[in-house]
Amino acid sequence: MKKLLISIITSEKTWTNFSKFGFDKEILRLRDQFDLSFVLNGYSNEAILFYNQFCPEYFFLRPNLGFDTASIAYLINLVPRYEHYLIMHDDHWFPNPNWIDRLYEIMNNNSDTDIFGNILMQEPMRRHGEYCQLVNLNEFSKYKDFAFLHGMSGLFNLRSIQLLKEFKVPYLLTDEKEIAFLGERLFSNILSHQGIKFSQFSEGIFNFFLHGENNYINYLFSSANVAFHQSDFIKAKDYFYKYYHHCSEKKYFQNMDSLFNNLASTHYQLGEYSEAKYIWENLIERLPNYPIPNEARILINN
Amino acid sequence: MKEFLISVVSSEKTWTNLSKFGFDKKLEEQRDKFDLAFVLNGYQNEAIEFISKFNPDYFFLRPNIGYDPAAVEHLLKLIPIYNTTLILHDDHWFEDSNWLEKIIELRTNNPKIDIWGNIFNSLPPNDIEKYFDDRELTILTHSNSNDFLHGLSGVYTSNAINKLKKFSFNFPLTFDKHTADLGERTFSYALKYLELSFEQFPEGIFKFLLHNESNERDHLFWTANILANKGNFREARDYFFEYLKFCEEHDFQRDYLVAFFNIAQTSFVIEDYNTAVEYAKKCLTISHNFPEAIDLINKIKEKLNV
Repeated sequence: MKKLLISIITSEKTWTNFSKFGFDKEILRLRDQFDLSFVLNGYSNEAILFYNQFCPEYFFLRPNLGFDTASIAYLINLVPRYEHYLIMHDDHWFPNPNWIDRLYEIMNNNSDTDIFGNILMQEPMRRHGEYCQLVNLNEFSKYKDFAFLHGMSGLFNLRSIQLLKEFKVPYLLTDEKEIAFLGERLFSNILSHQGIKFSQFSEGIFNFFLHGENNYINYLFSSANVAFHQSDFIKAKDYFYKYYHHCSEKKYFQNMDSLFNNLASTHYQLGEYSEAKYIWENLIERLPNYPIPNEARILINN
Repeated sequence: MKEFLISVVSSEKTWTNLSKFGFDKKLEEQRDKFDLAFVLNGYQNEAIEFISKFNPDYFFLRPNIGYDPAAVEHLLKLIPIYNTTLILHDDHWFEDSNWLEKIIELRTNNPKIDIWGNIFNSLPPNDIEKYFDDRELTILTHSNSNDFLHGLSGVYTSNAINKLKKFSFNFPLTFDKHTADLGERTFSYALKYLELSFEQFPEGIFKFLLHNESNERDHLFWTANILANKGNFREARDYFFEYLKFCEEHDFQRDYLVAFFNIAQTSFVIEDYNTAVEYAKKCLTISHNFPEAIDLINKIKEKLNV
C-alpha cells in the first residue's frame, strides 16, 4: 500500500479521454509510485478491458447516474486510508513530466492546506437554495461563497477524506446536467462547513493540473474572473486583455460576450468609465437583451 | 444505507452459480431489505451485465487471482461498516424461505457472537507455519484450535468487520489452490488472534447456509468428521453410517470407499472390531490394495491375536 492513491472517475461515454491527453502513458510510466483506483460509471466492456491494463488496486463499477457528484461521493465513501489522494476525472492531466515529484513536494510542504485543486470563482447558482432542499441540507442555502473546487478534483489529504466520509456528501441520481453543477458548488460549501481548507495549485488555474482542452484560454479567463471577484481589478484587466488577444489570434470565440461584460465591469471598477461605456454599448448593440448590470445601463443612458 | 449488507464474491468462471441454485430470485424478492455488494474476480461482460441487474450498491471488480481469500480481503477493505454483513460466494444459498428473518433473529439474540457460518474442524496442513512466515504473520498460532470458518463466509457483526479491516492478511495472488486453502485456515487463526468469536449456525453444517450441491451429504460427512476430531467417535460413527446410507440411496458410489473406511476406523477406535473388519474388507472390494484398510485389518489381527 503506497502513500498516494490516484483515483480516476470515468464513464462508459468518456473513458477514451484518458488516452486522448496521453495521461494513460504517464500513469503507466510511474505506476510503481502510487496505488490506483477507477470509478467507472456505466457498464462498458471495452472500457473495463482498457482500465484493466493498468492493474488498478481498486476498480469500482456503478451505474451511470448522478454525474460527478454521485461518483465522487461513492468513491470517497469506499476508498481505504491513504496519506493522500489525487482525485481526477478521465480528462484531467499534467503536462509537466515531473508532476508526481511536484505532488509529493506539495504533500510534504503544505500541512495547513487539505486540498489543492483548481479554484474557480463565480456567483452562487440561482437554484442553489432549491438544490440544498432537494438533498436535505436546507441549512446550506446560507452559503454564498464564490470560490469552489473545480470538478471536486485535486490532491486531498487523509483528514479531508475522513471528514468527507463522516459527512456523507449527498447527491441526486438524475441525468440533469445542471444538478451536477449545483452538486459541484455544494461540495465546496461542505468543505467550508467541515473546516477543510482548499487552495489553488500555485502554478495557477489549469496551469499545472489541466482539464480537457483549451487550458491556456481557460486559465486566462478563469484567472481574470478570480482576480475580479477578489477586487484585484488591475490584475483582472490584464488577464481579460490577454484572454481577448489570445482568443482573437486563435479565432476562439467562446465566452466572448461574458468577456466583454466582465471587461467593461473591470474598467468601471477602475474608474475608466469611457472604456466601460464603449464596451457595454457595443455589447447591447449586438445583443439587446444581454443582462448587463444596472450601473452599465445608467452609464449608457448618461 | 440499510442496516444489513449482503456481499457476494463471484468470478468470471462461476457467476452462473448465483442463478443455478435460485438464490438470484431470493435476492431480488427481498432487495429492498438490504444493501448489496458484489466482488467479481475477472473481467467478463456477461457476468457484469448479469450482476448489474441487481442494482448493487457496491460493485468491485478485480483480477481473477488469489482465489477466495484475496477476494474476501479486497471486499473487507472496501465495504463500509454495516450493523450486519453477510459474506457469501456465488454458490452459497439458503433453502429456508425465512432466511433473512432468521439471520436477523440470530444476530439480535446473540449479540456476543461475532460471526456465524459453517465451522469445520480438522488438523491444519503441515506447511501452515511456513505460510505464516512467508506472509509475515508470525503473530498467529495454529495450536489453539482446529476450528475454521468454511469459505470465510457467513454473518459478520460490525465489530468483526471493523477489526478485520485493520488486519493485513497479505493473501498471495497466486493460482495455487493449496495456497488458497492455507489462506482460508489462516483467516480463522486471525479471528482467534483478534478475539472474534465464530460459531456454527445452529441448524448445523450446510443445513442453513448451503454450499453448492449435495448439502445433506456434506452435512453428514462433515458433522461426522468434526465429532471424530473432537474425540466423540461413537456419535461420529452414527453420522458416518447415515452418510453411507444417504450415498447408497442416491447412488453416490464415489463416496462409498470414504464412508467404509471412516466407519471401519471409528469402529476400531471404539473397539467394535467385528464392524471394523467388516467395513475394512468392504474397502478392499472397491480398492483391492487400499493400504490403510490392510493396515487396519492387520492392527485388529494383532489386537485379537489371530
